[in-house]
Amino acid sequence: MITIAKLYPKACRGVLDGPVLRIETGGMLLCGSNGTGKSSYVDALEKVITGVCSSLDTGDQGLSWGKQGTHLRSTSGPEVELTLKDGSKDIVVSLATGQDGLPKNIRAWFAAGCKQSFLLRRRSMLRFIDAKPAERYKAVDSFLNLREFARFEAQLKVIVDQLDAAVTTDRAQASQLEPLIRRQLMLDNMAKLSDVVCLEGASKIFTAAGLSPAAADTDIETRARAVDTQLDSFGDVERLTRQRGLLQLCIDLPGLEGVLSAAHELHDALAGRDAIARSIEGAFHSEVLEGALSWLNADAIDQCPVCESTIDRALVEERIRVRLQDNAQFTAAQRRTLIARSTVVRALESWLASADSLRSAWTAILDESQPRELEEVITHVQGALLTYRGGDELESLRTTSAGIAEIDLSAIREGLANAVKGRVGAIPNQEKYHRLLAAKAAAHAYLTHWSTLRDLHAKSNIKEQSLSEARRVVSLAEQARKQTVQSIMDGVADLADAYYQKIHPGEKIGSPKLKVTDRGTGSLTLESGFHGLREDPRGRYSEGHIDSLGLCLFLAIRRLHHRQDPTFSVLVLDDVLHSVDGAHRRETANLIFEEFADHQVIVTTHDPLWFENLKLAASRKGRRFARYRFSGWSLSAGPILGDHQSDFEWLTSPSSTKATAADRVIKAGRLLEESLQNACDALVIAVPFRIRGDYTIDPLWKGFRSRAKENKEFWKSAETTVESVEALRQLRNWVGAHWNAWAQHLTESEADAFTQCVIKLRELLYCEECDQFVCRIAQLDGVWACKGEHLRYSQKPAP
Amino acid sequence: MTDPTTPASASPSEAALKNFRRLVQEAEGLSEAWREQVLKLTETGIPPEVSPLRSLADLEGR
Repeated sequence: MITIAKLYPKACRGVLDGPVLRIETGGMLLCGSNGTGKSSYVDALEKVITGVCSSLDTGDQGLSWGKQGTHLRSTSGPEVELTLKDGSKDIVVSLATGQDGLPKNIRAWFAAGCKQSFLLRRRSMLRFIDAKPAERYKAVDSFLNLREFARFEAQLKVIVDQLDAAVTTDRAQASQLEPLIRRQLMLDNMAKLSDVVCLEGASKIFTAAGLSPAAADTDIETRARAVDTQLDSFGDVERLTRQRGLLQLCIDLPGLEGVLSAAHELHDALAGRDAIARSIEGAFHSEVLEGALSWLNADAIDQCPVCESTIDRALVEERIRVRLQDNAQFTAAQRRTLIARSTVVRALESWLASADSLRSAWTAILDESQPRELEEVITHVQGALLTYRGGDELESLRTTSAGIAEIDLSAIREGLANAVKGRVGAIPNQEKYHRLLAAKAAAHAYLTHWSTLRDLHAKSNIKEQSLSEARRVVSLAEQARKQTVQSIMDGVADLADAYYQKIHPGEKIGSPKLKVTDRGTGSLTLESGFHGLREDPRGRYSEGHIDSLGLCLFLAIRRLHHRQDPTFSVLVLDDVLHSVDGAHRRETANLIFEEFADHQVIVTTHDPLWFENLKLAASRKGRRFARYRFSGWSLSAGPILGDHQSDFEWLTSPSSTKATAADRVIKAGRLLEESLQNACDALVIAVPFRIRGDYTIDPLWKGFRSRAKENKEFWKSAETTVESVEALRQLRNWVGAHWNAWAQHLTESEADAFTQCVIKLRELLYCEECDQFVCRIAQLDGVWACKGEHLRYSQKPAP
Repeated sequence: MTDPTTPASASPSEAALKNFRRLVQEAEGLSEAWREQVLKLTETGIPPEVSPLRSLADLEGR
């Protein structure tokens, strides 16, 4: 078996440079108060074995081995040197050297360590209990070694994803084709597309175009060819359409009747205006007449300022008014003339614009100059336009108008139309042409789009079927994984319960069950029994019971992994029990060393009492364990190694004989205090209450001594010892509790006497076999006894 | 069901694969083509260098 022999961290976490911890084949027990560096050693060990420090490399932001792995005062990176023992050979591995070049079995040891769970920290234990089901599953996921199956499962999911993508693409393509087909085959949106429906749609369109309906794909191809042939007969359809447009222009060439009507109006207006003009010829302008009238009235002039003749102002006013009326008629006639002229000009321009369009179209479409007769009319009308724009000579205008009236535009229109018809021959039947075009589109829609869509449907059906089956396969894979995990969890829970019952026998609690739920891809619920109830253990369990449960579940997983691969036999428990009481601590210690006798066990604790339990349980197994106590820690020195031995161990060991008398009395005093605390508690001895619980030795001793005298059997065995303690216990105050120069003169015999009576008293009260102090058993008349009655003191003397 | 305490030779991954094979063999509504193909994959694995679409193409061509 490969074992860990030595661990030497440097510049690592709270450790600056060691101390080196040698680890025996049985393992190592390490005690120290909180913050003395115990977990730094655990972190270093995990890092050098697995390459990961799970307390730092959590994935949480700001937390990593890279950041907090190095000692605060170190300028270089952390280093961990691990010495393994393989038979008689030592193999040294460090973070710096890694595992390259190591023997195959050593590499296998490391590989197994990486895959297995071997280290339990209190926080991970509680996290597992407190976790939500999905998080709890994730927590065990890494323990389960299902990586290869998970990879297989993931690859199956990739198949599903790719099929899903292919089906989605097909659906998108189909959604584009379907409306196109419906439009070109003139199908209702509600009609489900099929060969029959599409053939019917195409057939209707063919029939409308004068073709036979289609009953099969081959018929569609035949109709498509027929449509093409018929469309060929239409020749250059675009050119024909344009010639048809030219013909329409010829037919629609406007007449000149409007021009003539407007011209006659102008003639009348001019005649009227000229007549009025002649009637007022020689008269003053309106402005002069209005000014004169205003002047006469304003100045009341009755005599001509030139000839001094008398003026009849009333007569003059009347004459001026008549003249002004004549001028108003002339102005109205002039306005009528202007409007009429504008109308004639616009009519001429409009006609010329139409004629010009016809002329341009003619040239463009027929590729020849316009006919002479049209040209003559245009020239004539252009001349008339010039005349009517500026001319006032009524006769000239009438002559021009007469010229226009002589133009026979109907004959010209007919001549032009006939000329166009003569050039282009027969005009195609547009309706027929459009129906044929629709038939051509329908044939194309059927042969191309429907064919593609039909093929797409066929393939998509296979893909969708495959997708459905692939999903089913993935679901089966998930089911298989969950079944396997459930099976493993059942084994874990059963084993954990077996462990749990060893710690809590007959307490009607336990039988944990880890259940993989059906929901989600991975979810794990935890329930446990409590006097017949089964529910979340946090509901009714004490904190100590939860601590035990978490530990037992972990130990079960550890055992499972070891059975799967026994290459790696290390168990590390980092300060896992906090709230467990004395009796359960002892059972837990026994469980660990009994059930994991095939492991190298490393346990750290802050609890000196559990440390003693562990030491005792370990020593009974006959295996060698290294024992350390960290007595302190400083940033500059790191953990400080102290004395790992308990006071009792030290006082009964050879090393105490070499110590000073004062040291022996100090430790004996501490042992007396510890023994009295335990005895008063176990024997239910009343002690004056202190709110802070800081009981001094004096009230403990007085209470104990008083009750000791009442237990006849105990007093019979212990009287000499108790009274010796009574006589000598002041030494402890002089030496241990208060500095006293006199104490430096303490004699060896005084120290020996005090030490021996304290040791004897502990032996009378504490059973090594049962690992407990004697208790008062009320049901047996208050007898004092250990569990196995190796020590038993009756209140009444034996007969 | 697998025995989680079975040592070394039956890793959890192997146990899960064994469960999966059994479920695939017993699954209703799974076509024979898929069943055969998937069972074959459980024996050969899905090689990472081969696209799963190769298997898909085989399935489509059934």
